[in-house]
Amino acid sequence: MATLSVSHLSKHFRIYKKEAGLAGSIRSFFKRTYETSKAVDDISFSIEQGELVGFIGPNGAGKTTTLKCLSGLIYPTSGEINVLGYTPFDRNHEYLRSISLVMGQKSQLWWDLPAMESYLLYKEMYDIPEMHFKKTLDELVTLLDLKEILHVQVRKLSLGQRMKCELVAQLLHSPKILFLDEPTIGLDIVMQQKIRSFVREYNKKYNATIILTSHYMDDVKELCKRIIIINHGRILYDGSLDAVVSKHTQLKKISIIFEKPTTQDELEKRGKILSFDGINATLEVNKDKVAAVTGYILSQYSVIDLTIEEPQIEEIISGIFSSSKV
Amino acid sequence: MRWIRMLSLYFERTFEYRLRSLLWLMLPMINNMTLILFWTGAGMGSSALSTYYILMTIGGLLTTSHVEYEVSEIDIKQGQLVNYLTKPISYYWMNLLNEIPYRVLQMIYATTIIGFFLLFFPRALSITLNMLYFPLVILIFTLGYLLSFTFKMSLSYLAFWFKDIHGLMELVTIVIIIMSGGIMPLPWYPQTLQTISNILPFAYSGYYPVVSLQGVLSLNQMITVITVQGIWLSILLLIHNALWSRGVKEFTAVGQ
Repeated sequence: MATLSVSHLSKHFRIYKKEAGLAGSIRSFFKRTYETSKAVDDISFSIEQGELVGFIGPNGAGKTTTLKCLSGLIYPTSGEINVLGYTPFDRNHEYLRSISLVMGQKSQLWWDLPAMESYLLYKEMYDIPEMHFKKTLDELVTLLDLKEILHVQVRKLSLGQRMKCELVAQLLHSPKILFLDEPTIGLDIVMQQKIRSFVREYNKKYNATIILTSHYMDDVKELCKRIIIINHGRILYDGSLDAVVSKHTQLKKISIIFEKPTTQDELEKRGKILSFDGINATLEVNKDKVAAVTGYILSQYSVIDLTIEEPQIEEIISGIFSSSKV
Repeated sequence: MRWIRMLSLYFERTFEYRLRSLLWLMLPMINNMTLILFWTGAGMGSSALSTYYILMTIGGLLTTSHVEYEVSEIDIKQGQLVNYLTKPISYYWMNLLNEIPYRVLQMIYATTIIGFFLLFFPRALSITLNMLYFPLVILIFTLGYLLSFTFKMSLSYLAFWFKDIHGLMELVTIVIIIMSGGIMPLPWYPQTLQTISNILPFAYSGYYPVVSLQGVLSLNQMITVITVQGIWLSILLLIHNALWSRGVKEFTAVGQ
């Protein structure tokens, strides 16, 4: 049985629409117009214990709304959710002890006190035994290198330090399921890398089920084998990252640096020239023809360097969003 | 033990904001001092009246909950409720734990004020309470606070449905001040207003705790007050639970 299963989940919001200007305001004073926005529209999927799944979509796609439904924050319009045998919105305390929702740039710590005070509060809130608390805190503090800042007021910490402290707070009770909503947002590259390593480590060590949403494709590339692509509240793709990349990589780029200046006449016959200056050239060719074209170039020209590039995952995903086809 | 440990952590947090607490103490004090001056100027000042207003200041500090802004504006409208909904603890209890240390801090200030008046202005404060009844007074104050807290929590939940309940809050605050005897002692009101005040719950978190401490109420009257407080608290808890279970379904956590 899946750890998490979602069946025909929908969440619709009623949105008040007002025409701009004074006339619109007067009209809306007497009669208001509402529209229904389908934030999540009939989605179904399931996730097994220990899976690390990337939830990808542009702003307003429905990612966060789905996570909010899964964590019991908001009440679904229709559909069924079962997580560890619980219906999230019932907010059974046992269920809440098994999950954690981490929202990037959102503080759940007491602002004017050191993070340690919040950790002690969470210890009581989650009823964590003393020994378990000490052990987990030690592990997390070591993993995230936080020892020096545990007793510093939260408001005096940098964004990266605070984000790491937030993560610790959300993991003290060793949740079996982790909902990570943009955990690296606003962080510099080094800190993003540290958070990623930590998430990977946590997933392995505790066999935790993790759902991650992120705008940074590096997060998804490095952490998730499986991705769910969502747009306009509907799932466009649910499967392995490799498969979607392979399926959408019909074209590859060949970048060449010639030893001597050359002409582009022959190259034009082999593929589409994206750039050419006599010494450097970039060709776009069908992936079936890559071997033949590179063989031809290497045999006919004096080449200093030749590289074959896959299109960026960002480009592929963005292509999927714009065409809404997978 | 778990609750006590949590409470002690909330105490730590409250003590970080000691100045805020002191400022909120000054506000009703100045307000009620103005009322004493008014009645004295009108030739109606008396020891009993000044005692009433001094104790009303203190009673207000102890029994009036100020949870409404935090719940309606910060938690519901701005979406901070997200932080609590994923925690295995009731939102009602968490807010109560958050407020208790603040009340205790106010109680420390209040005791200091009473001590100050008894020491320097003994004629301004006349308390005739039989100390044997003091435990009942504590119970009346506790229930009075719980009435105010539960009412304010319930009222704040209207923010689940309405965009702005600030005006409503202001209106209700004025009604509470009048009905709880904040302007003048209830027996000074016209008979109809007295009857309405005695039916509504507000006098049981303002006027009656104060007069019980003043020593005006007999044992039987105190028991009656406790009974009415118990009935109102049960009713308000039912309303609270109904509003919470429906309201939280409306919560959208937009922008969070």
